[in-house]
Amino acid sequence: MSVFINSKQAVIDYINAVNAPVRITPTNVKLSKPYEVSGGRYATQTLKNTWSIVEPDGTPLTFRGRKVIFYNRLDLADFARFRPVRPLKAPKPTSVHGMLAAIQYYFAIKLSVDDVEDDPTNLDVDGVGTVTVRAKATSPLWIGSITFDVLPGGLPLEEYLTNITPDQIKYPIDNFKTGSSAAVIAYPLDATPYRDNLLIIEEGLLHGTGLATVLEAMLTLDTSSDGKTLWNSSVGSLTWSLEGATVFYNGLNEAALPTNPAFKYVIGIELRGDLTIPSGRFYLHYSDPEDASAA
Amino acid sequence: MPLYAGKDIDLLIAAINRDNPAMTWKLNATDFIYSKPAVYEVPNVLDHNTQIRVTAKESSPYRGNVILTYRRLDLAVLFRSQKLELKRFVKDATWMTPATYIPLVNQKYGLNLDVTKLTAGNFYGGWQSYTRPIVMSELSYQYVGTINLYWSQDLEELGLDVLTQGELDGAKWPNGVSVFDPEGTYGLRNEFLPLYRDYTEESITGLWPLVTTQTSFVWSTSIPSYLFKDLLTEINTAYSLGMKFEDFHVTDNPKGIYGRTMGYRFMPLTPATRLAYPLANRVGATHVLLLWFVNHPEFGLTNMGYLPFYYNA
Repeated sequence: MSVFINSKQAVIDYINAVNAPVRITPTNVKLSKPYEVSGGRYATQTLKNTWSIVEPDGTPLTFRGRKVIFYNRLDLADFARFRPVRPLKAPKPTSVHGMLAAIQYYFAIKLSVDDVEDDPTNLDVDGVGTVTVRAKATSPLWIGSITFDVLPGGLPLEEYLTNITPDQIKYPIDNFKTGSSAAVIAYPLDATPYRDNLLIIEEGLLHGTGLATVLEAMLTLDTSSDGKTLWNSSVGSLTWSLEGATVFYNGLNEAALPTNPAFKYVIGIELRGDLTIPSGRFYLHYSDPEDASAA
Repeated sequence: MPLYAGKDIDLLIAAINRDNPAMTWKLNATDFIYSKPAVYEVPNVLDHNTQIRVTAKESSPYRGNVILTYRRLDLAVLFRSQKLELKRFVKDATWMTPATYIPLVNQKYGLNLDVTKLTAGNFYGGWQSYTRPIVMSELSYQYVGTINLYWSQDLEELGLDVLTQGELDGAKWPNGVSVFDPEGTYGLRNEFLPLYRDYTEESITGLWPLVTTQTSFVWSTSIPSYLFKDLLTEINTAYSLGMKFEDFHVTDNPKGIYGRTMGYRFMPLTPATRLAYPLANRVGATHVLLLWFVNHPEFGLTNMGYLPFYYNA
């Protein structure tokens, strides 16, 4: 008799196990409430501790008549005899029914609200304390009681971690048209030689001498991407074009930015939205040049 | 902060936590078991391509486990349209291993590739160029795929490879510790003594024969008493002082710690000696006699100094 399934199913499985090939189910029979053998009419007929009556049920009926069965209900206290009871982690339940899932998870005993009384737990404000689980007299499978120490915890992960498709490990640009990222291309580039002209570029549309400076920098510094000779400022060009790009930041490098910490300044540029290669935002890095003329 | 930083599972944990704001207790690296990532076939490289099982440990406030689907970054996508290349000077040609060059890749491109979660070949870092595929292991929580690394030798970089020490000793005061008392034996850490003056044959006649007979480096910790007296007279005249010969008694040293009260040093003036003894830098002279002495505070001077006597040997 498994302790992993519900009580009524466990009794029916027991019946089927010794009456093959007859197969009864919870839909074609019903069990009466269980009775103690001790002190009753069947006290001299069996060593089992429980008797019950099996009767046909359902529509249409599969069976007729009734049958008295004898079996043992399990004493909850016996759990400690085959497995040491350790503290039970549960998220501060106020009553026994609130911790049945934790009992099933940690101790592999499936108790239903029909099996045990919903007595209050005895926990402090931190969720530490004890709980006594007491079988209902009507439980088909359980008798007796057991007391667990309780510790806080045991939150069912699946109830809290509900978004199981996180998408935050992002490419610098998610673009199904290209996938190529201006941010990756620009990350190693050192635009310090263009410092003076870069520093005066204002936020907003990249145009005029600012556009010319960035274009020259990219054509000069970018030696490893496909765009090393293709960067342009042509109106309407869909690839490697700085035309229509906007400057969204120009100033001191900051730890919060996805930038190369080796440089003092960064200028953040967002390429035109309809650009296919490359795409997205990128930062061009630069520092103050050292004054070698004084040497 | 670089494009990607931290351990390769950190971004995954951060992503899970960000997308599950209702979790009172956030996931972390220690209280949960993260299974080996499994490839999850998808039609598009930008879709979620990986599954893992996250299981709560006893130490966490949770129980149970959850299967998550997320996206690892494909290196080929990350570097689309771009070569991953390293140019680096290697002083002594040697075998370059992933442990050697993957940190350089991370530094250059702002990545956090974990060298224990990839395979990549070794190569001999000389003047040859190499192409080596970097293949991410299935154990990486953040990356998948393969990318070629193009390696070539760079010129020797002055700042990184040649002049590795940028912190120089720099200029020193002329009577600094390194000149007089390099061991700090006498605890002399003195200020500049204003006795820098050119002397000539006429100024201290008694010393001049001694000067002119020396042409090489000579070190003495004492000076003949007759010369000492002449020198004291000269100093007292030049600086309006009243130092007495008795106060510089050399033999029984009545003033305590200043055991060596006077000495001299002959030196040829070379670039090295001019640098080491900043007083000895008079243009035109080929040699110098440095007289050094120590006095006591009651004479109104600081307590050590040099007198340079320049001459041409």
